Amino acid sequence: MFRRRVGRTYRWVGRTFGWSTILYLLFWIALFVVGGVQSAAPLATPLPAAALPTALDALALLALASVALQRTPPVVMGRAHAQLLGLAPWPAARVLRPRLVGYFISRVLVGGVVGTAVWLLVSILFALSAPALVALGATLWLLRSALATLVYERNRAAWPLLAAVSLLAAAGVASGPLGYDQGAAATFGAAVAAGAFAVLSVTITLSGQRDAYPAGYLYDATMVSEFRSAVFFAVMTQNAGALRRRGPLARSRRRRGRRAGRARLRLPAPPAQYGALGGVAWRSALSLLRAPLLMKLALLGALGYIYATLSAGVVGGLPLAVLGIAAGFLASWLLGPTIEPMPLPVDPFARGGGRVLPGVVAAGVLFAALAIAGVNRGGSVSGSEAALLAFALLALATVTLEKASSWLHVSHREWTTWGLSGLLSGTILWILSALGGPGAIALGALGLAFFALLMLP
Amino acid sequence: MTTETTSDKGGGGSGARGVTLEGVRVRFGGEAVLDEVELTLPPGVTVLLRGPNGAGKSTLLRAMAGLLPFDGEIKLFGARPRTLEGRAAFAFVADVPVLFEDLTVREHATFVSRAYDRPEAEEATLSWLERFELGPRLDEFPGTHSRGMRHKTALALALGAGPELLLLDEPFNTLDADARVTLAEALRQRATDGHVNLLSAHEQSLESDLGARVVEVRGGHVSALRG
Repeated sequence: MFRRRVGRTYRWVGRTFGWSTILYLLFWIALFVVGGVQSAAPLATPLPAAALPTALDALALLALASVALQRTPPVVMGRAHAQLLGLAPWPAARVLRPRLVGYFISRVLVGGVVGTAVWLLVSILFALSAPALVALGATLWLLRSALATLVYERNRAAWPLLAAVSLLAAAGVASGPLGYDQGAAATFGAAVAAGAFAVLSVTITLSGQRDAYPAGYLYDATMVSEFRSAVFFAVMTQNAGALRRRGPLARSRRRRGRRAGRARLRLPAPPAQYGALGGVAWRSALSLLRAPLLMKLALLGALGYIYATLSAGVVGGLPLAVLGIAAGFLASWLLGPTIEPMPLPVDPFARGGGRVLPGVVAAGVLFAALAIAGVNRGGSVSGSEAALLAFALLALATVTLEKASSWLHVSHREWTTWGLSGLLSGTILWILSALGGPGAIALGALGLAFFALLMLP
Repeated sequence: MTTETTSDKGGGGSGARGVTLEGVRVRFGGEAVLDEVELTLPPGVTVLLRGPNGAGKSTLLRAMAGLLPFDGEIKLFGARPRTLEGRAAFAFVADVPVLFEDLTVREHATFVSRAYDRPEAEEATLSWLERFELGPRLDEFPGTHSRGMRHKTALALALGAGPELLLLDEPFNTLDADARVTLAEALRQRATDGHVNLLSAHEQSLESDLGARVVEVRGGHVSALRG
């Protein structure tokens, strides 16, 4: 499939532009670039180095501000995407993943080129060598593209996020903590982390949208489809072919579509006496059971990591707060699906308890198993203490996330929601760790979680 | 402006045994889409909301379902729509039906019956799904179904839950001929049992088919209940 696509693209480029023309152009571009770089010499009187942060700030903010103008889809889609988004039961994330991956890779490359150009300019104007600007440029462009994608999707989180990132960029570049003039390892680590975070936020946003696609994608995909082929009927004809077991599009996609359309994993229904709480918990357990295998394995690994970190003695202060934030992310996968927007007569306790319990209980079982198996990284806490603390941490983060998503009416898979609840949980744990040891922290966190579940709407 | 208040056909107070709307006003961006709506629906009636597109029929139904903010007072069998008692009193089927894409059709029946805390609703819903000819599709996710099939699923869930009030937004639009007959029978039976059905529709024939009374909605104002 991939080889065929590469071959098709190769032939199309050859037919449309001609490979000899492209090679000729590339040769001269490379020649000019190398010549330009070699002839570049620093100014006799370099500009004051103090002006550099301001100049970089302006550049970064300009790049981020241009996000506001985003009106076109981040990726170009065709007929097949329109069909998969509109007519097949595929999650938006799965349909758009290949194009988005290509898009983000290309943005990193473009950002790297821009960063290289800025590095060159800085070396000429300021007589400073700042190779880290390449990584910063790539990261900034990646962040900008991820934000532009969120803006295009009309994601409510996009604008506050843009403001926050702009402020951080301004503060970060102005104070130079990333060592843009040294190319320090920290710069690259931070750059990779920020880029991964930006891309992850887009992926998670799309993953939560199985039933409500970002409408723009579908409309634009359909429009592109119409413009490209000028025969929208071809879409319908192909689809009809698919339904009649004909047509090149049909076979594999139809098979996959049918598989996606039937439930493979089931759970027995809860006894009726458990009422709404039982019903919501049953649905949450089903959702966990039907999560992709890879996600379940990653979740197990992450939960194990939290236990291991705690058993190594990281049970207080800022590291515990950071673990709380990480638990906020894990909670977004452990929490059951929302019952909105169906107006069902489910009270807040049944809704919250039902959504929280299966994931938290499953995590608790894993922690208990690790403690019983004697897994301990030799810290100052025992296995059972680490297990209790990990359980309390997860319970607090999951309850906080449930309350935040219900209160804000925003999906718990939106990274802003889990980020917010993770920050809140982290702060609470930090405060609790100042008041006592692991046992006290765990009891305090569990008490707060139970109180929130019982009392908050 | 409005309006009319009907007398209580079923006897008993209007609030606890029926549906009342008093001075209901819904605004979108400062503009009143519904203005000073006064309406009382006694038990045992089917009421058709009639009016041109954009008149406010769907808005009225959504406000009654507690899905839109409104001024004034709405009482559904004595309870406000956003309270637990209020929500237990009605089921709402939107013109574009809302279903949970992570549950199969059969699982919807289980989940909704647990949410309403009416165990018997599960069997009832499955029976309605059979009557709507969805029996062979029970183990499929509704995401793979046509709009008509999704509508049938949502209607079966609402009918199976057996609430006192059924709010249906253009329920006949996407149904095939057999399903239309099935739904009409169901609505007539519900009215006979003393339940209230409130639905928006454009077909003239429904008034006689359902033995329904009619409320005209026009420009945000609601007419007298007639028929």
